[in-house]
Amino acid sequence: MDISRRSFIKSSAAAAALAAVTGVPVLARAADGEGISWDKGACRFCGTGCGILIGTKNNRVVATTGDPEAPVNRGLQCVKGYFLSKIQYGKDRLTKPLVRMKRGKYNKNGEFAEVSWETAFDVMEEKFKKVLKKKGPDGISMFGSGQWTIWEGYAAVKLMKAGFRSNNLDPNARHCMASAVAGFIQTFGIDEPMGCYDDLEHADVFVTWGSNMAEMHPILFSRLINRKLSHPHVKYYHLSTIANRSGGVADEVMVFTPHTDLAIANYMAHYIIKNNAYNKEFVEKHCNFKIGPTDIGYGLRANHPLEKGQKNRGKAGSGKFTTFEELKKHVEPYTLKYVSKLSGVDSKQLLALAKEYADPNKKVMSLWTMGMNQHTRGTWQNELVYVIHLLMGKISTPGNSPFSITGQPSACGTAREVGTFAHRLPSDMVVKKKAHRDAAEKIWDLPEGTINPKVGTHAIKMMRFLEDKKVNIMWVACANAFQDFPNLNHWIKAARDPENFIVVSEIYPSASTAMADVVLPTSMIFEKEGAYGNAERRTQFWRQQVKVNDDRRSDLWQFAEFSKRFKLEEVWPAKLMAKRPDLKGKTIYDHMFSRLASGYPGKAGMNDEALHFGFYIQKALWEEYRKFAALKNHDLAPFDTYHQVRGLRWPVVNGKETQWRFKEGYDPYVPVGSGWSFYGNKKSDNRANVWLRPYAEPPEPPDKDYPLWLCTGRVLEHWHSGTMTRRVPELHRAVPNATVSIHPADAKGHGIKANDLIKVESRRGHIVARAEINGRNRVPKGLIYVPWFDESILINKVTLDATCPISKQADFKKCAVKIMKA
Amino acid sequence: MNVSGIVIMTMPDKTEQVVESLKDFEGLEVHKVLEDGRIVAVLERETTGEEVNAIRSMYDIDGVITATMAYHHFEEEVNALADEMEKAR
Repeated sequence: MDISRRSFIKSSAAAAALAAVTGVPVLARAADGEGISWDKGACRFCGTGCGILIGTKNNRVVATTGDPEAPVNRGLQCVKGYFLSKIQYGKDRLTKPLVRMKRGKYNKNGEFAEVSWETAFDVMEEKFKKVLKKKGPDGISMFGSGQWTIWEGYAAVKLMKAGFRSNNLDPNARHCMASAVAGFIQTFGIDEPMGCYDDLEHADVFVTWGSNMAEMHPILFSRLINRKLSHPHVKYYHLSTIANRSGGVADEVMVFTPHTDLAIANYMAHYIIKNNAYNKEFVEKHCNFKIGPTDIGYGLRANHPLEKGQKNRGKAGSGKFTTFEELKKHVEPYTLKYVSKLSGVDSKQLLALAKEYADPNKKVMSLWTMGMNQHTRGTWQNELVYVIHLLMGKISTPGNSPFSITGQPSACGTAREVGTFAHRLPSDMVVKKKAHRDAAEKIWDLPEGTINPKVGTHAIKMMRFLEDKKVNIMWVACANAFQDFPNLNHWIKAARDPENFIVVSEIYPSASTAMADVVLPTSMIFEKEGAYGNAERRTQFWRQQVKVNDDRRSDLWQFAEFSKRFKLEEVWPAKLMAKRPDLKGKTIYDHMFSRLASGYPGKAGMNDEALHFGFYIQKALWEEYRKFAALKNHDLAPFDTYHQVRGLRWPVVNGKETQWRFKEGYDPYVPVGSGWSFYGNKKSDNRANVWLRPYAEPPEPPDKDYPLWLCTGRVLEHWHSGTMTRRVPELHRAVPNATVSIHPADAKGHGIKANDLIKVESRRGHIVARAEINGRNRVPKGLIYVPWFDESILINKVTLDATCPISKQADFKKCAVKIMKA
Repeated sequence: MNVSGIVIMTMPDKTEQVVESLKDFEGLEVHKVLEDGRIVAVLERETTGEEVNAIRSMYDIDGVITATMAYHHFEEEVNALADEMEKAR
């Protein structure tokens, strides 16, 4: 690079960074003179939903900037933004369909051979038809993603639930936010946070409950810290089971014994009620009280020894109305002394936090991620945080915000809002309710009874059914199932069972493609037109930035194209076909996709899919999907709007987004004079539910044979299972493998020194990795931490497949292990 | 050579000491230090991986709260990779 050009780029870089901190916009966009064209997009990684500008030149992405006009990140990106550069261009990028073959024919024991799309789909079609004939819709399944674009998720729902009539569709988002969802639905009757990121600039107190925001959500954390540093009265409390970077700037770091967050939250409610500090008017006008069964089990198989005596396994999600008086009695035992002893947290710290929550003049924002959601009582814990906020009426106003942060870019926008879960339909509707099925059948123009009323297999159940050979086909798309499920040894074996057939749509070779029978090369992020929805209900669109010139195809293309191979009469029973004779001879594609083409002609230069299918398929699907949103207070704007704005937060009513839901003056659905309205609970007087939820023991605490807790999670520089971030060789060299963080005393007790190879073993499996003592994660005595990004150290062979029995989300944070020198 | 514009947020009472430790940081030029403790800098490194490692090691400097990026130019690196990818087909 010549000197003048380099100094020009450097001054552009400095100007962009300066603009991001001062808020003064950059006048001449960086390197415009270099023939780079810029367009807006959203980051591929976490659920923060940072807006970025993508610079392309000669059909390649060559630069990115944080979008200075994006309200979320105001010109900044976190370290993960660096990966946007190369993720599309890794040397081992999958560019051809692969099928296991022997002597020119599909064979489960064969070697992968490059084939055409037609051959790959031929093999898949034969398998799908065979299994559908033998076992019906319950024999097939799809494991999808909170990283799908909105229309990819929507296409998957239509293909599986309407086309194949199978509800065996579940996303990897089950592993990251199902407990948050269940908490929302049970408390508010409608999914997703009521507040938004603007709360970060209004709160007086921040509380993180099981979230390492500093490393996992650095942009949101910067906003939190900005608020704290510029307003000296602002306090930050960090609750966690390990001391991590987020605690470095906190006023109080409260490291608690795993699972005792349930007791800590109950103590907060205890303090508030005992001191008569609760907001009586709010509680009287806007709250109901509910109680559910205990002994609900741990979501393990029924015959698992840990499920013994759990007499309410079958009705974990049920509940009945109760009273404030009962709540009072319920929180009575959660005294400061008891909870401090149980949790290991200093009573002064607990009291200080309780006083903050109870102070009517302090605005509190509670934030959480996986620590609270990946929890065998995750739904309860989510609900308990709402209890604290509801008792104080600290909700839905600027700075008063219980806020569940998201780990994936469209866990909200796609997985949750579109409803790519085994029990869901778009916009919070569910398959088991007749009225909801009717509404979906109407929008999709389906005969009555098309949608299967039986809830399908949630993620863990999908794997168990694969193991039991009740499900024989699993199509994994945009997810790394065979790395990210707990108790992995079972599922790896199930995948290779001769009766089972695994399809994996991927961008790079992964732990999952190794388990596959067919691998489909997939185009990603800026190689397609897309839409994501972030954690604050913000929907963001981007256009395809670079054209794909080989055999990579988007998930949307794959679902729509594959659906051409099935005539409705091949997949629907005759009785159903008889209700709609006009559909005879039509394929799933004809009725679910191309039927919508009219009015949306495909034009050259639009995007690869529009060109291929001959209509603007993304727009056609969006405009249909929007009809669902309008039914359930999820209103979305017309397609074209999102290409012009930096995202909008739903509900979007009369062209206006909504920052704070349920509060008069902010939310158009709240009637004048009502103050608040929790209209998700229309049938119970538009009130929020305050749930009485106790502390419960975790399923597998350490004992004499397995004396340590194992907690798993992420690290700063790798995202999730590393499928994208581990393609950067220099980084791979610097951080080649996952390590085991261990307390110095535990290391000493086991004769382990830093960097020693150690074996981590549970009742289910083991891994070998190097010990890290006094690294970035300072674990307490009695607990070890292992990240899950490394496919050569599959820590999920060790973890337990226990779930929250309500949300069915697995607990990756707590099981018992022993360690020894390897 | 990749170039990125970065913003380092520091504890205000430790900003000076962070600026001092950044003096020997390979490929880094500090452009501005704001009163609130934020540092605006430009980082030059050969590859994305080295850039990520640089950010990672900034996190290890006492007084650094977050290190974020505002602008990233990686044209040469991507062209080399994409050429190789196309050649492989």
